[in-house]
Amino acid sequence: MTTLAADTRRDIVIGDVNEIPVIIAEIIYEGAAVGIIKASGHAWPLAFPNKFAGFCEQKCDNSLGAAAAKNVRVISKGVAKLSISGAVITDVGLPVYATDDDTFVFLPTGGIFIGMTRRFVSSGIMEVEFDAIGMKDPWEGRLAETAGATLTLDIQDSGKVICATVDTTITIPATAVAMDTILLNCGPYGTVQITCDPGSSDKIQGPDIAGSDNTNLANTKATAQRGDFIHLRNGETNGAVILRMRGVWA
Amino acid sequence: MTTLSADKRRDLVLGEVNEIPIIIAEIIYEGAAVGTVKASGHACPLAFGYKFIGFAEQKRDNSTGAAAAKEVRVVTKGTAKLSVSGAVITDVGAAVYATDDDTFVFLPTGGVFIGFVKKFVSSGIVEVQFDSINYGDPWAGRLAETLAGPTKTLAITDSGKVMCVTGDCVVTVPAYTVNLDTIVLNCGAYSTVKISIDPDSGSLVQGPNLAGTTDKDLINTKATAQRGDYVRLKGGDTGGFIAAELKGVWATEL
Repeated sequence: MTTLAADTRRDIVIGDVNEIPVIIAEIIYEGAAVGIIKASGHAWPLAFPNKFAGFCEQKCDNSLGAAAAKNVRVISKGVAKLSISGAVITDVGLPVYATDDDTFVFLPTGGIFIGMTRRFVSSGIMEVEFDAIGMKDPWEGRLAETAGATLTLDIQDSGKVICATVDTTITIPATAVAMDTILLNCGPYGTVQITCDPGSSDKIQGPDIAGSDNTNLANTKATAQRGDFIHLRNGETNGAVILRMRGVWA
Repeated sequence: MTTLSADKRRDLVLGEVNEIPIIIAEIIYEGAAVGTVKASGHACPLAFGYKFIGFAEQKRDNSTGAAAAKEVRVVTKGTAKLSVSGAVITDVGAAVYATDDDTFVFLPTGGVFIGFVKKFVSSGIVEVQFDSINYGDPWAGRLAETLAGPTKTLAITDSGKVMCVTGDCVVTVPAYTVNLDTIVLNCGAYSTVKISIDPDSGSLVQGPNLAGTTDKDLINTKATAQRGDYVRLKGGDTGGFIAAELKGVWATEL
């Protein structure tokens, strides 16, 4: 380590754009969500599981070029008006995912995090604030999986975020199964209820929630919001404990 | 609390600079990464244990001054081209740390978080996007420790740590009854470092859609391993340890 003993002129880069070399034989169109391939660091139209790099400022045609023959210029930070399936006025402040370079959804399953909703424009249309470098997926590090109407958790659900898009009853396994799982409400406001069902002689305990044996804990449907969640850790002798929660649960 | 019943003019500050009083008898050079001393809130050249507040816009010489006799002006938010040891083209998005006011690395151990790689410029040179107020160290709240050797056996005192692996390493976990919570982080460049999580005898490592196999390792596949891949390990399940979080490609040893 050598601390400074003289002034050092730092190149402070102005603006929120970036330039990334493009993979071989690819066209990236203006407006495309652009992804970076992990193995090469090169850009192409966003696909799972790339890293989001921003939105393409103008078409970059490298269809006849070698890898890195051209750079694509992207806007890496800003606000974009996007079509998001199912977006309603109560969805401000939510993470948005892309499943390709022009499809945007709220469901983390199979998507790449791109930013957070900032403003509702009209049904299915929102302004999304993005910062491809600085913003992080709230569920990074977890495998996203969409649940049906019922699901019994097991140890292989550890490390997952289970996404509920319809009324879902989640059965918690025996206390010996020390799983660590997040249950996420992915429905619009007031439309989806998640119910956590403990074992017959177990309960669910958490912040000022004493719980009762064989009594469910539910994300009250009337006030349930997209983004409500509960982080459950099993293994306590009385049943599962809540490590974190958001929304109204009773 | 008293809610407003009339308009109130807020002083909204423009720009992305800040001014902070300097500690006693210190020079902060132009371009220096600047930190604040926790105990006083005063600025000085960045060192471990301080909070990063930005890059000095111009030299401020307080070498003969009292504490807070002068203020340093820093750029708090932006993108800076920096020399980061070992940086390659696959490091876009990786967290960057400073070990002093002019030394930048990927290893969290003994470093202060400053931002994320935005663009690869050339070997060892990257553009780093920083926002000293809003960006947070992904490993904040954990003690970073480098695994220098090829093997490591975890103990309960490794709970709350992020273990930074810089060379191929076999990390052995204790019996499931040791209810630790530890992150093992790959700090090697793309495809250079393999991490193997070795369960206790008779146990396995399970996780999201990972059934695990008794006495078989959970491996961060070297061919696709990336700087920033990690596993968060927790004890407590009778079968063995669980992977409560995973990033990157991990598979059970065959």
